[in-house]
Amino acid sequence: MLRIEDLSVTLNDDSERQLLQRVSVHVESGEIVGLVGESGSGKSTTAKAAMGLFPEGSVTSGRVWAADDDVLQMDAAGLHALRTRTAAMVFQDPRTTLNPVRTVGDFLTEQLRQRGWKKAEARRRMVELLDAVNVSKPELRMNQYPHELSGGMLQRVVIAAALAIEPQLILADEPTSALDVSTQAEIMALLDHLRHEHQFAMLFITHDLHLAAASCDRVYVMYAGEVVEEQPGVRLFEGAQHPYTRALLAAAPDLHGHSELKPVTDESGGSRR
Amino acid sequence: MSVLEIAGLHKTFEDRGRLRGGHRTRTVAVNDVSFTVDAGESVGIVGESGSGKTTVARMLVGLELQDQGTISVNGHQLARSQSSRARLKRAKDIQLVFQDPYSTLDPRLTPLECVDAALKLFSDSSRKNRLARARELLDQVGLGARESGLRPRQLSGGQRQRVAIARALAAEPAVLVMDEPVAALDVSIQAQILRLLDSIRRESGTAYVFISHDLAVVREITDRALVMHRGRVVEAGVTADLLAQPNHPYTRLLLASVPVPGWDPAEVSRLRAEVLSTEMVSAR
Repeated sequence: MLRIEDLSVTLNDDSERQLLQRVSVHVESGEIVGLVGESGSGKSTTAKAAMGLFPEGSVTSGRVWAADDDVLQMDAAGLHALRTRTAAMVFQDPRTTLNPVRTVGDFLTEQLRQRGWKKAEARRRMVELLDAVNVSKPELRMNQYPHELSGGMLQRVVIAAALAIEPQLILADEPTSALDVSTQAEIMALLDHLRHEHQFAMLFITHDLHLAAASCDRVYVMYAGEVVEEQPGVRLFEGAQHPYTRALLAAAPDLHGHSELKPVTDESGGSRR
Repeated sequence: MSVLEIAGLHKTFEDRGRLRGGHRTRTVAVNDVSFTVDAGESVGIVGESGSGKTTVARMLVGLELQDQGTISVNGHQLARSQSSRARLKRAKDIQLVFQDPYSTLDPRLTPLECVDAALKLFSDSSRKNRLARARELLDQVGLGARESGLRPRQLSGGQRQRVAIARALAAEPAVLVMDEPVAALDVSIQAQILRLLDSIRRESGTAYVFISHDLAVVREITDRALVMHRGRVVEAGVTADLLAQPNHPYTRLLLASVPVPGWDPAEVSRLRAEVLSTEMVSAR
């Protein structure tokens, strides 16, 4: 569903900074694939590339395929179709996705209305989807404003909006990082359930190694614009080969106090900050 | 001997309700919270948003005044006052470190100037002695001469949190209250700060109140922990025991929320229903 091959992205300014270096990532239908790493490792740049979004003035090489279409060769109409039909994005903070002065219903029906749905039909469909993502009193929510809903409920609203276009690919960029831990668990359960039902592919970006290991079929570890490791989720903690991955895992505390809380050092490939 | 003693804290907020048609609503943020912290001990407060944990922290340092209850440090009850004199007196006893140090650091001051300004509040020593002490404190949190001369915007998130810790230590407080101090940091930086906090506690004997939603972090950094839910302490105990054998359904819900191998996130919804039914029974 998504295939990125040898993708390099370099800023075309004085710095000539390389954001991505020969990144290869693939996600199949019905699969959830994790992209983990620390700030600045290139996770979000990779996800945006799948949508044909690149930093202004950057030079790219490599291939990006979304649902058998070559993203790097797409014209404006092709990119529009990619972003409104094939793929949907879910971001960390739902409050930045929703317009605060428009109702939840306006936000939710917008995409369907643009596709020519009648107002009442679009509304009926979105009430159904709100119900499907376990939002209580969906009829009432349609008339409410974003500030009247909790963060967890708003993220469900954003997920319902993503489902409305029946995407084949969902790119989720830290979708649970701004939520309470128990709300995070409930959103992960919901995404699991929906993925099994709709068989979309999901690229799941997170800084949380434990979350990636527990939730993803496969996990890529990124460091300084490169993929340094690929492991099945269940093997991430035992099977990690790259020194940077091992250092990251050693730095992450766990419930049993088994972590050594070792800082990531230069020797392991990390940078001192 | 307890260095900090909290007894029967209550706090209710009134919402003027401009957006809800003008009628007022009252929210009980903190409901009968009591606990003690021994000298050199680290006590965690665990909870999610709306649990009241941050309100407790704000009352400890005097940013909010409790409606009822007392806060005592080394046997002396703190004045229930927000006068500048009372605040300065309290600041010598209890210091707070926030989640986001960027918002609490003056953008114009270098770390050296920032720590020096804090020392000036708490001592009458000469400028020369203050600067020497400021360098010592910055060295203790791992900031060298070069970083100590930069502006906050030139520092990384981890370095800024180190400055905030050095500034808090300048008061030589009996208690350091930290509200999600590592939540905004990358995992490798988080590990560095947790190790730093551990060594400071061993060397200085400062007691910690460590507020966090992250059970694994609380496991690392605290001896005992309280679990707060909707303003109340629902469970308390030795951190390792609490996590190994949780009694209250809400503690079990928090534990089930932590991703581990073989994790079933759907379990959380079932436990949430159990927590709700417990609350309905206790409300009768």
